[in-house]
Amino acid sequence: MNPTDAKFREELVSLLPKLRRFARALTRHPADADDVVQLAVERALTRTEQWRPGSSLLNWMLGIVRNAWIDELRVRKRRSEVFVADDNAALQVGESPTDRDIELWSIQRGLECLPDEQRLAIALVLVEGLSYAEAAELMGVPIGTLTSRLARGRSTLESLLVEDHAPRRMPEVNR
Amino acid sequence: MNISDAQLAAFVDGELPAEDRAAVAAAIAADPELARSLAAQRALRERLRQAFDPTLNEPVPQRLLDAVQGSPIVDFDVAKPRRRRTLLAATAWMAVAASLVLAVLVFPRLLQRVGREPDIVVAGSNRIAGGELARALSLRLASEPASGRVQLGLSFLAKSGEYCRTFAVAQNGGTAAGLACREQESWRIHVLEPVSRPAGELGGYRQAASVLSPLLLQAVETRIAGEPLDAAGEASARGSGWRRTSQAPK
Repeated sequence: MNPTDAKFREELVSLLPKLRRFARALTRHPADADDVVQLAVERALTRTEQWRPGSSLLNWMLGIVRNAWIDELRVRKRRSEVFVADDNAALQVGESPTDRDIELWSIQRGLECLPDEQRLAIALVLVEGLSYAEAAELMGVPIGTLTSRLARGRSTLESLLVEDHAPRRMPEVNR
Repeated sequence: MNISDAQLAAFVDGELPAEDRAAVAAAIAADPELARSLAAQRALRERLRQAFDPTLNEPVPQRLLDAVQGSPIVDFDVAKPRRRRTLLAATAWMAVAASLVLAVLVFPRLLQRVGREPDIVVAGSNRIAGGELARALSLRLASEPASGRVQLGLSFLAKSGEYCRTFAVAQNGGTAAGLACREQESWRIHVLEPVSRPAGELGGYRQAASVLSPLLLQAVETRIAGEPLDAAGEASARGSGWRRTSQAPK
C-alpha cells in the first residue's frame, strides 16, 4: 500500500452516499444497488493507478459503477430463466407503504421502461446533476448523443409519470 | 425566436450559454405552450430528485464501508461470498427497517385504528395484497357497484397464465392505483402508483378503464394475452378461485 492509500479510501467513503443514489436510479432493488456499488468499490481498489489525481474522483467512480451495473445486467440476462419478471422493490417490511414509497415505486417503474442508455443519461444528469459534458465523457459518447438520449428518456418518462390522470388515449408504448 | 426542445432542455439543465439564457427566458415568458413544457421538464427533474435524494441521508451499509477498507486484491472467487453477504446484510437491514417501521408507523396507527389489516404487505421483495384489498380482488367483480375503499378496473389473463386485475385503493388520505396478479394463493402487486383523484370519482366499470395511467396501461399491455375479461369471463374466473382450470385442476 502506498501512503496516499488511506486518504484515497477516506475520499471513497465520503462518495458512497452519492454512488448509492446513482445505483438506486439504475436498479430496482436497494440491495441490488448496493451490490453494484460494492462491486464498483472492489474494482476501483484494484485499479487506483488508473485514476488521474486532480480529476474528479466522483466521476471516475460513477463510471465504474456504470460499468459494474452493465456487467451485472449481462449476468442477469444470461440467468433470465432464474430471474422471472420481478416487478417489486423491497423497501420496508410490515405496514402499508407510505405515499413516498408509492411515488418511488412508480418512478422506478417508469425508469425501468427506458432503454438502459436512456436510463443512464437520466440518472447522470437529472439525478446526479452532472453536466452534459461530464455525462457524455463518462458514457463515452458525443454530447449530441447524450442530449438525444436524455430527450427521449425525458419524453417517455413525462408521458408515463403524469401526475394528474385525466382520461387519455392509449399511448404508443415502446416494447 | 424559435426555441427547440434541445434548447429548452438545456435551459432547464443549466446548460445554456449565458448569452442565450435571456433570449430563451423571454421566449418562454411570451409563449404559454413553451412555459408549460418548461414546467413539465422542471417538475420531472424535481420528482426524480425527491425520489432519490433521501438515499444521501441513509446510513451507508457496513458491507460497503468494509469493501472500501478491504483488501484491494479482488479475484473471481470473491463474487460468491459477496452474494451471501448481500443476503445477510439485506436481512439485517430489513430487520432494522422493520423495527423502525414498527416504531414509527405501526404503533401510532394501531392506536388510531385498532385492528385494520394493511392493504399491502411487503414480504421480502414481494408486495402482496392484504386485508380489504385482497378480499376485493378475490371476491368482487368490476361490474358490481363500488363499495368500500377498493375499486376494480380491468381483469385479464396474462401471457404467463395467471389472472391479473387493476385496482384503485383509497388509503392514507390519498388513492393508489395498481396491478395485481394471482400467484399461488395470493395477489402479488406488480405496479402501484399514486393517483391524484379521490377513489370516489373513479366510478364503475366503464370509467375504470380510463383511469388507467400510462404506467399502468404499459404494464397491462406488456402482460395481457388477448382481450380483457368481460363480466361473464370475470365471474367464471372468480368461480374458479382465479386459477386457470386447465392449468391447476384443484
